[in-house]
Amino acid sequence: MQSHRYELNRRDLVRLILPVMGVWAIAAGCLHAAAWLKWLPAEPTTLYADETVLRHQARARKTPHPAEIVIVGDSTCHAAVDAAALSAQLPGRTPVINLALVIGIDVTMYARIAADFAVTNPGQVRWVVLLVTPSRLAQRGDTFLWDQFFDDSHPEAKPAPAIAEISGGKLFRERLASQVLPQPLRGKGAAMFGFTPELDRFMTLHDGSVMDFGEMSAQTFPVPAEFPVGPDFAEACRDFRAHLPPGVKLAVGMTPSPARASGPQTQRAYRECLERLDDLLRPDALLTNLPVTLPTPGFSPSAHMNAAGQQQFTAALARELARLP
Amino acid sequence: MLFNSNEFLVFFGFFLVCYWLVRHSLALRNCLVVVASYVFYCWWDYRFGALLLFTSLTDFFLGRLIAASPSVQRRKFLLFLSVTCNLTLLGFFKYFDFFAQSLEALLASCGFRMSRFVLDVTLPVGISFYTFQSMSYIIDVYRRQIPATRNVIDFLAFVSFFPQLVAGPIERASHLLPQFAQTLRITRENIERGLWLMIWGMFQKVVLADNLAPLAELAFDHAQPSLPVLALGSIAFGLRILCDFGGYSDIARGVASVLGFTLMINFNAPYTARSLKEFWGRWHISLSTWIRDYLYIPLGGNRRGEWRTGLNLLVVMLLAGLWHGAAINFVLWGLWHGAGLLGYHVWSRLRPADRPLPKAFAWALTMAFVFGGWVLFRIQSAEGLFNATLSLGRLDLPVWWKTYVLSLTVLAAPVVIMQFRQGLLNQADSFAVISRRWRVALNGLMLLAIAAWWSQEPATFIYFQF
Repeated sequence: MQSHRYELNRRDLVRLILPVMGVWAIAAGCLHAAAWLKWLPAEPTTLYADETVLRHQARARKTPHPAEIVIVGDSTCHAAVDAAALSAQLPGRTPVINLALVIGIDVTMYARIAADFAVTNPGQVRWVVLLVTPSRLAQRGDTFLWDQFFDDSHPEAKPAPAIAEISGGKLFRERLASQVLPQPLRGKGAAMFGFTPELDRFMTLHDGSVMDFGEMSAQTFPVPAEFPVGPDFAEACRDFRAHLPPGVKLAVGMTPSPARASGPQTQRAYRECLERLDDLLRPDALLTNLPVTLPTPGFSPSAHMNAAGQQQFTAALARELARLP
Repeated sequence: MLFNSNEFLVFFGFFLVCYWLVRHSLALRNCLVVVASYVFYCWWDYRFGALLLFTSLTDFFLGRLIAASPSVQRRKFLLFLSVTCNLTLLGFFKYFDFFAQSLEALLASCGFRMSRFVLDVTLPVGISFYTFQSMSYIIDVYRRQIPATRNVIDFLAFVSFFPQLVAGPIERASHLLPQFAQTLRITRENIERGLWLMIWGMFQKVVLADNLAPLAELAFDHAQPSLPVLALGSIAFGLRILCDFGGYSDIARGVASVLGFTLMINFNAPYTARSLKEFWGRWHISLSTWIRDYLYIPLGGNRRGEWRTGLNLLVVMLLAGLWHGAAINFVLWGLWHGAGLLGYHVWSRLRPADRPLPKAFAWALTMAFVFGGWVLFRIQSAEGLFNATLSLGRLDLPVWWKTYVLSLTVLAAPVVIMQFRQGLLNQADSFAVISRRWRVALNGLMLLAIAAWWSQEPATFIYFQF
């Protein structure tokens, strides 16, 4: 017995499929042409939290701002310092901007972002303050994120599946749909910011700073007994000064560890690490009076500072910076 | 294997070629369907293929014995055997841990401590769907509504037919089984309908449902609950579950249509319903009709007085909730709908026949009830339910509410337009409400959007867990 009968011929099949593919091809062609003619709107800050932070800082480094002190560093620094509150606590309300990035970026990028800001705002920057978390200095940094978000010659460095690229899908998603479909955030921060555009707006309103949420439990992120400095980090530190514009001074400090997770060796390890950074970076000022540890309730589950920790650390940093010439 | 994966595209392309090659032999076609369906199913875990085969063969042979038996007692016994076998497997894989945990908690509350006997059983994908499909066959054979099939390959193909194997529609043997015994016609309309349903279904899943998912997650998992946040979250979740499950059903129907088969419509614009009764006639139709035919009516339906009708409604909706899974939220969701249907039943008896509710009000009331139910369905912990209850007194809006509403509106628009067009034209089939010219244009544009959100790591369908 026959299984099934095809009651259509090849021409019918082509007539069914070809117009659909034709519409798709025309739409894709229009999108590529519009992109080529620069008619499509720029990609907004939509996709992910880290990406939003990087895009914001990439934009901020090329935006006029009255800051005389530029804070750079990793994500612990980003969440630890409230730039506006710091400014308010400094003598003469010295303007501050927080241009800290996320973990995993090569340390020379911190210098380059400060240098770009100094070029955009010539003759204005007096101090660059580098703040790093001591427990991550053994890891190798990467320049990929810099290429992706900061290098103007590689604005579209993100890889995408070939089909999404050719079919116009990538352009449609990133340049059109993303204007009205921002990405919801996850985790505790979602309750506050909700979506990436709100995070972006928050950073702009707070001179580049962010805030993390929640409270760390004692079991997470045990602080190591030693803070080793990796060879890649050490090498990048040696180039750090070379990237800063002449006349800009460098201050170096470290972000604190949660008190409950710290051991008896933490104080000693912290001092040794700070001395090592002093050797490598040759800063104009070493911020030796910043707290080594802070009460654990001041930290979020991701080891960043939450609102309480940020307030304490910002006050401590203000006292340190107030001593600088 | 997921419909929205690269593996499925390759699998289906290869299957279509083989399907064309076996067009002259019905036996070969059905063998091909069985082999392909088992490959499709075993892609997750080959061990569960044995379970599917066991269920199918048990019901095939018991069906033959029931059909051949002249004695009512013997037929009853064989039916009992089959149902027990099916429900034991389903109960073990789906409910054992739930009841074990509940028993442990109950004994602990009475001061008895017992060693842990939860087994952490892995749930075979689609077990509720194919078990119910197989059971419907055996019950229909018992009732002499259909003859028992003599062809084991046909029956294996009926239970395991890959387009609808893991998330329905739960087909009836009287509808699908005869299609395996006949020569199918594949016409231009079959292909056209199949293309539309596959693309529209994929669009609903990949573009709408997968983008609605983080919106629902934001409202239910991350935000501080307040009444407006819960309301927004329930709308996001209600739309997501429709696009996810409705999308799956559409893809299943589309794939079947390209092969010349016809599957039943599982969703008929449910969010246009103006009463809860109407909603259940439009939502997950294959399950609601299954429950009606094999549970509600045998329990007496509405023929044994008002009290018994009310009890029957509560019982069947509780079981419909439990069908989704062994968790307190599904129990509460089932009871919520049971109570709603009971309330509607009482009200429809009491209301003056010449003064129906205004249509818009009836629709708004129904949707408020349905979307309120989604809150129970979505929140899976007692703590979450407690927080949600507390939040009912809070009316504060988060700073991000405007962005949320914008995203929700953009994602809801395609499905709302389609639902209301279907409702307006009184058409259950989305294929029939769009003209050919519009269909071509929409297909092309939806393919573009699908390509934009196509992922190498596709998100699974919600109903796979049931």
